Amino acid sequence: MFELQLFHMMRLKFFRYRSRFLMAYFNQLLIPIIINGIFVLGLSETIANYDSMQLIAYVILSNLLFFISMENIENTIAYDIKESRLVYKILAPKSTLRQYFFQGIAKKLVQIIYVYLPAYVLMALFAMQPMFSVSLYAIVFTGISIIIGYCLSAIIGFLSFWLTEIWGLSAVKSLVLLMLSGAYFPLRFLPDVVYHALLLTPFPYISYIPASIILDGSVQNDFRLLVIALGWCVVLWTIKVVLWERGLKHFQGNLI
Amino acid sequence: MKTILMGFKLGVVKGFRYRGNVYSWVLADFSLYATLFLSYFLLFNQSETIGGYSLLQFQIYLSTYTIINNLFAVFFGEAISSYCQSIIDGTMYQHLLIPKQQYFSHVVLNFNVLPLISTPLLVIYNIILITQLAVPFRFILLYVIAIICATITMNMVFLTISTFIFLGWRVEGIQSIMVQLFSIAEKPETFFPSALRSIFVYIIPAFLFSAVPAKILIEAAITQQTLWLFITPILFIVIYRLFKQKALKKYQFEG
Repeated sequence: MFELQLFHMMRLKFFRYRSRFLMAYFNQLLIPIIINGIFVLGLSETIANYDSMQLIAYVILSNLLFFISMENIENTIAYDIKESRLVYKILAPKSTLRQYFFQGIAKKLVQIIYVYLPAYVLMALFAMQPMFSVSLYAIVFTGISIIIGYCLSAIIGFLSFWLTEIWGLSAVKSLVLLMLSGAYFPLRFLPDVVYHALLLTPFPYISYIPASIILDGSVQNDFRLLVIALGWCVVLWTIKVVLWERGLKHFQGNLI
Repeated sequence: MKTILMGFKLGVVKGFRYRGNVYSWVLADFSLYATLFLSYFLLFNQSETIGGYSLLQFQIYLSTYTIINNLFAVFFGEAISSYCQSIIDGTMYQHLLIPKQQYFSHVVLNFNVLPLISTPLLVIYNIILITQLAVPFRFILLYVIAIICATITMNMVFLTISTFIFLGWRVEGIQSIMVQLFSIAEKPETFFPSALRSIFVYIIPAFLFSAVPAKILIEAAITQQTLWLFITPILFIVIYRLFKQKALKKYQFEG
């Protein structure tokens, strides 16, 4: 099966260098969680006075969700367009968009199985209790966060049909998502007006809202959030497809 | 001086070759600074002080960090990548034949002038903040020297890491860990426990890029830390040279 083969390929790529495995633990888990954890606890003392255990759980969870949903498929897409490798992908019997989507999902799955899940089990063992209770609602929001992350990344990638460089946009995306998704600090620390305005954008649905749903059951009753999140999924997915179709008409591959 | 000027001209030609690249740099730089400053402005809306810093003091803190980062990107960012690549692909032996210092040639050939577009704005912003603080001139002078020392230290840390390539290590991972660790510098150092703070001043010199130079202006400098800031570039140069001398004896490349 195509999806399974992709997963197997991504797993082989991930384990090609042992150091990559170790670095993933340091770069995506240990360092950001420790640094952000201390920072958020400090902020909480100054601004909001939240329960510290709850905040630590939030930092761990929001960072995990952030790295799970952060997608960097734009670099692959840009490379394919610039180097005309896209021609081979278009000629393949599988839909190109499907190839990109499942490539991203397979990469995420490898990271979840080999990095995030063991880390979660270790943390739960250390805390001697399951740290988060996962509901169906939380799973739906995690899925939404992955789709939003993928769509934003693919949209930037498809802009390569018209732009010579997309790394600037890619850098902006990473920064804006880090700050506004809630992985840097809980968005509740912001003034009310800013917080409510942010809820209308797709950013909090990447990390803050799924983490809050898992940690705080009260958020689960707010179906308005689900409607906004699903709305953003539809909008971003449509933009992605439109850009792809228009970009293909613009694309001139040179294989020589 | 003539060589540096020539290198700078080359950097301008290289940098402005592709308009898309120029727009990307400007966009990335301005968004980085805007997002960082805006986030803290919003947080200061909720409290008058954060980590013991007032808004003005913390703006100094952040602008110091951004200026050091910016200067590093202009003078050393690409030079380090080029230096690492030259060790891996063997072109280093050509640089060894140049009468100038080997790394110096990488720096001169790899000035990245595009981050310079945002430097004047950052400096003007910093000057406006300094005038609001009304600090004696000797402190400002010390602060400027501190910024230069911190930029050199940042460069020397990455350069020292790059010598591990001689041992056959993949340094990209270590460099990215270091970048992650250095990101601590954009957060108020007072939030961190004193032991951790000391580690990030004396071992991993992250706070030398923000808290320590900023404190000179705020007139809250700790003498020991300030002295350390001025010593670290020399110390790292010595460490780098020792590492390189030993590593070069083992370096083998077949063209």
